[in-house]
Formats: sequence, structure tokens, C-alpha cells
Amino acid sequence: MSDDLELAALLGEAPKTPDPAFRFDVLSRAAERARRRAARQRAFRVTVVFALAGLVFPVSHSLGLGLAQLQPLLLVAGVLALAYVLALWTLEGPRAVLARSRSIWWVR
Amino acid sequence: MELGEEARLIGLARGGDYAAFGRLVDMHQSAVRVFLRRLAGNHADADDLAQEAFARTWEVLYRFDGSSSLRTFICGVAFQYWRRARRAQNRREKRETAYAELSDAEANAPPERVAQRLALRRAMDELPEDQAAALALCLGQDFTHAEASEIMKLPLGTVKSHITRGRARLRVALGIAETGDE
Repeated sequence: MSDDLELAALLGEAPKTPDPAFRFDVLSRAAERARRRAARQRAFRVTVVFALAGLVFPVSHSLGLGLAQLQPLLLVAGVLALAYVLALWTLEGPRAVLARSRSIWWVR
Repeated sequence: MELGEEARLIGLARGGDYAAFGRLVDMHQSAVRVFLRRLAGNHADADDLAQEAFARTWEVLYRFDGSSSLRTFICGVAFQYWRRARRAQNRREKRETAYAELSDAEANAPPERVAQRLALRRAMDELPEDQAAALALCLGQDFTHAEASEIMKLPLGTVKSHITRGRARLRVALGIAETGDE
């Protein structure tokens, strides 16, 4: 058995104490991965929203709906989209006045 | 540290608490790093893989169901990372740089110990992946055979056989056992 321990020691020894620099590197990598994942999700969301918005016109055209019939629907959709963007800007924008409220939602 | 405390830290880390996860990293970094050092042979590469494994663990911590220890769970992730890295790496290139890597780590070691390490490293590089991993886990008594079987997702008997055969090959490499040991 001591042979095994000797072999193990020759193959590599454990770091003696927990290394704060290692922990710091792990946490920064984890944060970086989370940031990248969030960016990917955001890009996907933007692509989907714009694709759907772009699809509205050809689909409505193929259903025989003209711009005049679509106008009230587009107006409502526009107002809703604007409200959504404003809400997002208020919560997550550069001067997020409701950032503190958001932090309450994400509280663990 | 008590299991209750670890469970509390896991709960906090799942909720996004980086400080709690940092404490878990401190608790388990030694086991994961030595496992990867024995597998990779190069401390820098091993630590790089260990950091990736911990960062990935942070993402998949919700999958940890407590049926095994967290250390086993993290080492399972680390093993997958090492396997992927090893397959991507050119083995010949690895052997050629082995001596330089050992020399860096062993600047003050006696020459015969460096030679032994080099021989062992070459023997480890020649071993099949599962055999090398089983040895890296169990040789220093850091992990039980059952834990190794869980980490590597292999039957217990297979792990034991990997250890017996791998150990024999390492002893041959060091010249302390006859070739017919297997």
C-alpha cells in the first residue's frame, strides 16, 4: 500500500492549502461564462423578435389583410413594444431607476 | 467541514451566491487538482482544467442530487474535461514536452526522482484513458473504488481491474515488478 502512496506522490502531489488565487480564477471564469450565456440568449431573443415582426407583413398579406385592416393591430403592438422597452430600460438600462426593485426579485 | 454546512453552501450557490460557491471551491480544490495533476502531468494544464471544471459545476449545480458527494460530482465533470482535452491533444507533442514540464516542477529534486517521474509520466500517457483515471483517483487513497466508479461511470469490478493492471504497468515502468505481473 505504501508503494501505492509513493507512486501517487511521484505522479503528483496535492496543493497543500486552499489557494485563494485559484478560487478567484474559478469565480471569474464562472462569471465570464454566465455573461457569455446571457449575451447569447439576448442575441437569440432579439433575432426571434425581429424575425416575428418581419413575418407579420408577409403572413397578413397572404391572408388577404391589407395595411388598412392591420393598422389598429400594429398600433397596439407598437404601443406594447414601446412599453416593454421602456420597462426594460427602467429595470436594466444605464440609469436603472428600478434596479433595487429588481434585486429584490432575484434575491436568493 | 460538516455535511450540513456543505448542503447549506450548495443551496446558497444554487441561488447564485458566488461567495458560497467560493467556499465550496476552497473545500474541494485540493482533491480535484491533485486528480488532474496525476492525469495531466502538467500542473498548469491540470489547474486550467480544474478551473474549467469548477466553472462548469457552477452552471450544472442544479443537477447535483446529493446521491453522491459533491467532490465526486465535481471530479466527474473534471474527468470529462480531461478526456476531451486529451483527445484534442497530440500525444507525441505531449511526450516531447514532458521532460521540460517535469524539470520546471522539479528544479530542486534529486535527478533519480526526476527520472522516475518522467518514466511514470510516460507510462501514464501510454495507459488507456480509463486506466489512467482510475489510478489517478485511487492510488493516493484520495477516492474509494466506489467513488471512482461513480466518477468514471464504470462498474466497480472494471475500476478495480483497471487499477490492478495500471499499477502493474507503472511498477514495470519503474523497474520494480516483472512484466508478467498482469
